[in-house]
Amino acid sequence: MVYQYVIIMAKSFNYISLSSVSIPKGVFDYVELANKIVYKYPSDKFYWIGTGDIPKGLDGRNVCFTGFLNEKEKKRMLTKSNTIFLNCSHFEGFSVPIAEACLLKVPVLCYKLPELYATYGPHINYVNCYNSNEFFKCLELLRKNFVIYKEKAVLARRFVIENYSAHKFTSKFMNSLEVLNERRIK
Amino acid sequence: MQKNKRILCITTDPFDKIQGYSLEFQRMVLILNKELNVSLILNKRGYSYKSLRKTSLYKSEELLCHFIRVDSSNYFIKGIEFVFKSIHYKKPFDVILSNGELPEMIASTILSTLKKKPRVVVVYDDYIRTGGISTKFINAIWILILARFDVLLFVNRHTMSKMAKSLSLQDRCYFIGLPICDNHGKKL
Repeated sequence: MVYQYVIIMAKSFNYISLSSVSIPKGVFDYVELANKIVYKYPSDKFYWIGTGDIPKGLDGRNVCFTGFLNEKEKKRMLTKSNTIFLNCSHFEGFSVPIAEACLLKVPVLCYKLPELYATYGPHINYVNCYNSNEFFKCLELLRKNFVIYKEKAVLARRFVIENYSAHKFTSKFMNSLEVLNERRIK
Repeated sequence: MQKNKRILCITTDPFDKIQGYSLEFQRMVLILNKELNVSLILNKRGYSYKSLRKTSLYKSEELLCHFIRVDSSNYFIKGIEFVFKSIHYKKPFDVILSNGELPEMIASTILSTLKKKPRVVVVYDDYIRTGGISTKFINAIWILILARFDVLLFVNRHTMSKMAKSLSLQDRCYFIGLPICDNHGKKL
């Protein structure tokens, strides 16, 4: 209860997106979202970590484009209190940044791409594809119930460790190569 | 699969500074290097490689790299140059692991045919980025070469189920995802 009270009192949130700055990665959606949120909650801050040219005509005054950050700086930003990880990307293969955010127990909100749902299941939070109004509403909801979503992020961390740890990956890789030996024997 | 098998990995480090899947492939190779006997073919002056070298993951796991110098200014010729130079790799290997892009897939197909070794590819997605005829033509070649690989490793189940069904490759497709380390390269 005290923890909840502190968060409600703090009222300032950090939002982070981590990918190259490009249109398919949803930079316009992110900026639109930032403008809406900052208008309503002026003390909130939006960061975009990653390199790339900022597209022409982008009104990015409410977003801090940090450029390249090293591992330590990234971790420092993600582990700040009241941080939410946003992924507005329109296509993904796996999305390592989402897994890294889960690992640091940061709540994640992203579009419900079939690739992401197949990879992370119900352990992260989704919005119907490319619906920026719904994204805004979901983010407000996440902001208001941050403690509940933070608890869900703990489960997401466990899911990532169980499924995508280096050891698990290596054993999956070796198992998949077993088929080569079997074919040779046949 | 015995741990002492030598795995040759092959990737072009992107010429256009957009790191994307090449960086993920190189991270994957570094993590495999912890437990398996891995070496990597890579073009010199790689942007992903440079950024990866700054991380503690690289510092904790030095990787045996075979660099290729690619000098042309044209992307298409750069790709051909990479293929031509990488197929001259002479050291012995047991399995070749290719990144899922066209130049390295062509190179690994030629190299594995010459050395009579099995080839494995990592597939990330099946998106066609633009609707142009040239892109569709390149994608068709990509699928033709992909179907000739012995094992196809997918980083997400959705793409795997779509492609395995449409190409009838169910017996060769495996979902492996991508490995996650904490930000200091330690094992989880």
